[in-house]
Amino acid sequence: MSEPVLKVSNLSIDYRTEQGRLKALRNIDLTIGAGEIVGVVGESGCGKSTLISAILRLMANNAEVTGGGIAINGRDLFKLSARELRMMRGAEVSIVFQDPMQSHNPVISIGRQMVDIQFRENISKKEKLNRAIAMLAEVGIPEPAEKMKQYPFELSGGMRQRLAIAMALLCRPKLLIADEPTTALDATLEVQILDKLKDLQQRYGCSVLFVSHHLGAVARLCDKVAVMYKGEVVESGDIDTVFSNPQHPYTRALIECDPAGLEERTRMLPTIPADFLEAARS
Amino acid sequence: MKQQSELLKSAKLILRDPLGLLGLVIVIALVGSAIFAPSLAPFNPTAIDMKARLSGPTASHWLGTDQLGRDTFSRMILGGRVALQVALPSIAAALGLGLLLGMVAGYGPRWLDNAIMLLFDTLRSFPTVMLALSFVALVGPSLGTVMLVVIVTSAPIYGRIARTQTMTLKSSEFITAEEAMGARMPRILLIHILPNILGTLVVLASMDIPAVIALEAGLSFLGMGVKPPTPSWGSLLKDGYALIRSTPWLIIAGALPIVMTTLGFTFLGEALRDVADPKLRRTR
Repeated sequence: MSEPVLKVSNLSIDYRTEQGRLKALRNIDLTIGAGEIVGVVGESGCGKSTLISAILRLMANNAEVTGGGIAINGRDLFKLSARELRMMRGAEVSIVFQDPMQSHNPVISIGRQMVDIQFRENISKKEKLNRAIAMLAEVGIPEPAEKMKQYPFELSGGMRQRLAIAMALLCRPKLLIADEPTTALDATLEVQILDKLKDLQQRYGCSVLFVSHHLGAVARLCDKVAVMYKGEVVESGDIDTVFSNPQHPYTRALIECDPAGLEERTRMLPTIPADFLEAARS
Repeated sequence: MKQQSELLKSAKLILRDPLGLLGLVIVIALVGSAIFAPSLAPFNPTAIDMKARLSGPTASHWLGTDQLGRDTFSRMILGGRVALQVALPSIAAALGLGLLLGMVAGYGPRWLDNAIMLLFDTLRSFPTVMLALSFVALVGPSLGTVMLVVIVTSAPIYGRIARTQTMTLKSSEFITAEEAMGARMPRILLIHILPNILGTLVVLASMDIPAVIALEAGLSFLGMGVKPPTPSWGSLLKDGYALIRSTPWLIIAGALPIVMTTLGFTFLGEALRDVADPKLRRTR
């Protein structure tokens, strides 16, 4: 097999806080091969966002890598110069954020943003514009040429998320990071966006790191899954294996919490207590 | 197309506000008279006519003449030209410099922020008039000196605001998205941050124009602004001040345009601010 697109090995990251060091990530291992869609699931605060910021090397100022490393297409991320890092961002890795209402510049037109983001491409402005229009059509935005003159706030949430995906794919990255891209959308739109993502992934052949706390979304989209809990990957593997035969108690509890799995009407939805592992051990 | 309709909407809002309309009319009259000053002025403002000295308002000299027989009305109109020649370029330069330094301070590394802030604080710690007088003492009175003082004292104000706004925007998701695409600082600042903060600062700058005009008039009144015989509202006031008992029209010709300009720009600025505010609220 060829070089994995993303290889996170034994990565640990601490946050320095006034109350002392907070271990945000502990010995994370994660590998994404070419063309794979890998899901990362876990509750809020389990380190998903820290992992993403580390992969982009856009970590907070008080974050400190205490061990391990990240390689993108075989290159050690922590050894790149600022220039190499810039060249890598966008071209090899790009990202779709959670909240489509905030991920676009509110005061410049969509066309200008999309042309601008291709600043590294050595083609004329007209070609950039044409590529942008073609990409909007690909992600399923109607009347793409007219949208060029509009502003982000004139689009609905679902359309804006499609726009975000279009912009992330414009530079044809090898790895697309999707940071809870459907959390801010309603269920119908979620399914549409997931299907679109899968469709685009197959067409462009890129790998996707899909971060979510929605198991249904992960099951629908991903080939593999890694379950994170309290800064660790507690279980990972093929999506079918993990979901049909979960090994770790947290994974089991997480799957039980999916309301889609409920068979009886209830007023009490299953939950996971904060001190889950300690409770499970006793 | 979208932007045009937005502009049109703003223009309508200004026209609906009576004070804003008044301000707009005054500002247009002022700018118009400054542009066409040479053809509007009935006399050469520096032509000395000792026979007609200190005459009161007459059919040919609408606002009388000064102690050298120069036509006061012509001097008033050309004084307006000088006032705008000082105010507009210096405010524009101060705005540009303040924006540049402020955005770099707000976005760039901590040490650069500290250095720029130290510079701003140092400059702001001098009272404007004191700073102006010491500049004049150092390099001599001229239009350039007045402009330099304005730039040095106003740029830090704009810079501080630009810095604060940049810092707020810096952590917003669309800037992070841009960073994740590998964009460099100039691209992020000029294409993404500047359009977001420009509106507020332009409104602020338009309200600062009368203050600059008053500063120029003040320095000229003290004999430290424009060099005679160039007409300025301040030098009109200075000439009139000495002769206030016998020839009050000189004082009026110097003071009235200053008052009108201040009111005009202030009304217009306030109307602009009101127009900009709901728009800001809506996009947020």
